[in-house]
Amino acid sequence: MKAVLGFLLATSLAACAIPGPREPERYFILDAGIAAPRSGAPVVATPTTAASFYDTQDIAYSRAPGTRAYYRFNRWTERPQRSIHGQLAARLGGGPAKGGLRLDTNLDEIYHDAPEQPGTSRIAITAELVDPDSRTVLARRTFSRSAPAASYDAPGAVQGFNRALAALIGDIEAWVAVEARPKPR
Amino acid sequence: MEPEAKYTLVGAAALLLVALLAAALVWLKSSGEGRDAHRFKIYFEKHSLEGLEPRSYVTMQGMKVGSVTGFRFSTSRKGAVEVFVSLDPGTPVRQTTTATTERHLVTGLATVRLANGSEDSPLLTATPEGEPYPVIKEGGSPMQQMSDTVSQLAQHTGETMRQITATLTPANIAAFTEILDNLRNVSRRADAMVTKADATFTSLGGAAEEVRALASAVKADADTLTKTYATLGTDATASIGEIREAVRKVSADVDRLSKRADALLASGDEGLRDTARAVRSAAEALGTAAGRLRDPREVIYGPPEGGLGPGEKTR
Repeated sequence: MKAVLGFLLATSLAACAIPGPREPERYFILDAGIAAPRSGAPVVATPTTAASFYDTQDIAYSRAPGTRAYYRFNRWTERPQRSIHGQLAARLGGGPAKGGLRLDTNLDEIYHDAPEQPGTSRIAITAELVDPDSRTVLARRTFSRSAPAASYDAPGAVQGFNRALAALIGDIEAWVAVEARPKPR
Repeated sequence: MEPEAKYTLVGAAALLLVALLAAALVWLKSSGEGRDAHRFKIYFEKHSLEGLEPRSYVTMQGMKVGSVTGFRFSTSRKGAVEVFVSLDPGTPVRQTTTATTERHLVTGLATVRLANGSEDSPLLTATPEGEPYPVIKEGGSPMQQMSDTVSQLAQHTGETMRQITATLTPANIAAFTEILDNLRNVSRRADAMVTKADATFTSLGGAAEEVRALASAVKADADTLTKTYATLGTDATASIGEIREAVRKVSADVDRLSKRADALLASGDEGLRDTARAVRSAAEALGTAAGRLRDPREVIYGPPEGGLGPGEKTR
């Protein structure tokens, strides 16, 4: 009888160990809301590169300084640098650089800084303005922007990313307009 | 109040459980080890036996035909493992029958798979001298198959770049379609990309001399990849983990290659840029597919509680 009871108990415990339903995966679009080209600068934006940790569809976050991790059930619809390049090209114009300058960009960081609620969405991009004819770097600058996350989760962080990216693209556009202007001799 | 004991129900449940236990014991006892079972021996030298256990299934044409009764390191053949199997009496083990191992992707449990080379071959009944049972030959390494796919992939990448160098003759359409097919087979995510690539080919024009030189540099990378992965087949003891690692490396290398193509062709013809983007997209799909294989346990159990992001729950 004890054996039977033991068997029943073991069966019940085993049933408890079966995992329950999991949170569904969600995919977010990184969208700064760029509507139409504004800049008249003769600049072509080359595809944005990314630091290897952020070169993924996973959304990154940080709970402590100096650490990073990925959300497990929340992802980008495409790698963030591709969205960023698309929106930079839309703002600056992505046509051929015949006689124009080239804008190289690298995504240094994009993560939800979340040591406390609701956290901050941070983006950093390094931009280089290159003269393709002389192959010289005319100007280089790192742009950082942050925006408070709307809530302490991925959807809230994405809202923050979108606002921060809009501001950051505006910064790059203004910088390009100044740097691409012909310099007085 | 005195509890009302349902003795009939309790008794029936107990009897049912005892009957189930007895049936389980009989089943375990009889699984491939009956009196009439035929025993064979296999020397495994090329295959990894990771996940193989006593009582692991032996299958033929997808059916369970027996089980593994034991294994040990061979004293007569260096580097080999002797695996003993017990098969159902009606199993047609022929002289051309070969044995390979297969591993379940999620559980990691291995089975021994038997395949007949020719159905006309005589049955294997002879026991070699010095052996206790007839010996079934070992089949080809699964790594060889993987290597073929991978090297084919790399070769086609090189071929595609060669065709770009040749200023986009119509022949490159076939080559590029082939590489996309290969990537699709591995990643299963390239349908949209194929459509995009097909549309791209209609707009491809001439390429500048500069672009030819750049494409030539990319071709050199692709050739290096081909040489690297052609050697994978020489590794005869690769486990499923090593195969996954190989996929990951391929993914990373193809990704690097396609990124370079993307950057190099950025100032070239718009059609070429689209082509490079298509290669890149394929590489990313491959990388994503490989990434999902990193830890099969998470497929079942989900991530550990401490590994969840803000606001995430396993429920």
